Amino acid sequence: MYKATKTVNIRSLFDLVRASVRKLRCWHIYLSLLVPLLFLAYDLLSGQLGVDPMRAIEKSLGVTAIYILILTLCITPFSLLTGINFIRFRRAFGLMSFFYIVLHFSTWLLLDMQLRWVEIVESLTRKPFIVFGMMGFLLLIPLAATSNNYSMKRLGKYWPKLHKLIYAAIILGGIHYLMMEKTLQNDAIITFIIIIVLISLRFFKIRKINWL
Amino acid sequence: MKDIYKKTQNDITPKHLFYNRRKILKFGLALTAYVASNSITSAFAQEMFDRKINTLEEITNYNNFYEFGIDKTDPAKHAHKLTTSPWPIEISGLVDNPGVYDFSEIVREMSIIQRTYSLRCVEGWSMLIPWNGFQLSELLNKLGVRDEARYVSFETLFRPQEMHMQETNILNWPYREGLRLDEAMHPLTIMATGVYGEPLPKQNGAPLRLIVPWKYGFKSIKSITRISFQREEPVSSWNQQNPAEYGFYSNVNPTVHHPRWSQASERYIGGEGEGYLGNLFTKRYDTKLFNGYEEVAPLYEGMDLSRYY
Repeated sequence: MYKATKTVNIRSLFDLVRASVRKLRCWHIYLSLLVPLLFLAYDLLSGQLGVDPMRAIEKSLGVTAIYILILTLCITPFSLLTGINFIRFRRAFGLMSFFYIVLHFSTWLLLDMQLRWVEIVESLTRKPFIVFGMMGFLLLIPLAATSNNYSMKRLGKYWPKLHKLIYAAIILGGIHYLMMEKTLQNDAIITFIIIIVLISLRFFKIRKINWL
Repeated sequence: MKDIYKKTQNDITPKHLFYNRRKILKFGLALTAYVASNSITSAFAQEMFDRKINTLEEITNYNNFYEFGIDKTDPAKHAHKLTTSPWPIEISGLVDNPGVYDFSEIVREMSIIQRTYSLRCVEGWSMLIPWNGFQLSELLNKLGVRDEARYVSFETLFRPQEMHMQETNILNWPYREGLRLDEAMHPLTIMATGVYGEPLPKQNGAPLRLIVPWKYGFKSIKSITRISFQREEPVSSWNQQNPAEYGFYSNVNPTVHHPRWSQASERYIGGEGEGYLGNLFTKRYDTKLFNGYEEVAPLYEGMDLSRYY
């Protein structure tokens, strides 16, 4: 008797989630992924970014980008596990991550390197920490450019193959984060482990869990 | 020791006096240690004067002191746990007067001077900091360093109960640094005991730290408890941890390539505007050989600086 009630409750909760996800629109995702940027702007204006706000902004944009990219990688396994279809939001996550990477890269070019091209070229060619980050960014450019219905139709069966580049890009981003300071930092190590786990999931066949 | 690190710049010097102080300091700089010994090229001196001296708030909230955390805001959060009194300092090795002296005994004997130096971090940023302290040469002369000694080595306190990162293995603790004896004897090399005329805040390496302005910041070891004189080149912590990136000498040198950060220029932390927001647009300056302190060049005559980096 008790067990039956519990099952019904879980079922209704599940249905509620499914119903609310159905009501979600892509623009909700785009808008809510702008929230980290608003928080950053608030922190800047209220003086909470410390003595070196430029470095804080640069790092925050990079970390936000990598975490949205991690969410992008979560979508497929999460949809498979729960049976709730999130796949249609994947583009919004991917593109918003790219948006943060563009902001991160622009901050580096303009506020950090201050358009000193000789040093920029030197960094992009001789400093592994920068090279890894840049390679990750370059790999994502074709993905962002083909994240639209027209390209999906044009590329057909090649589209999913092309978009497997996200795995290489996120690993490069994770290495870039690991190499940021003189020593390894816990935040970067944890991020890298999450990335590796999410990619390893691709080697297992995920079956929908029977929740009921 | 007075609890100065909770105060802001304004508590110590009223703003108008502070700006006068800047002029005084500039004037002092121009007249005394630097130009008197014909030490800094006038262009460099001029560029230094263009930068405003960092505020105490900036100096005490942007620190690399890995014993208290990796983030530059960590030392300000955790350094208060450090007990700095009593502060025994062990002097050993090739020296006439070895022994354990308390910091207060040592500092009482020294003539306190003020030096405003540019601190250039290997990470590619710099600050302008008004230290007070004494010339290391004065201490070495009093200790009577023996002729056989060629190097001096320094050690930071090892006390994991108060320095929590010493429980991790990010570095081989305690933090160690060293200088060649002629570098240590150079008049520009000081032991800082304070900033802005007040005792050194704990996050800046209280009560006693080294300042070698022509070397990257990590050479300027903080919270020193051991000084020893020896024949062989001493261990330095970053060199031990990553010899490809950090050499024993670590002289500021824009032409020696570093695999992580560009050394050709530096962001001067401390913008023109008021408060932290004013620091958003930090300016990049060309980094100079020996951080602009060209008078140390004779120390390295005939040495290949790209090999002995």
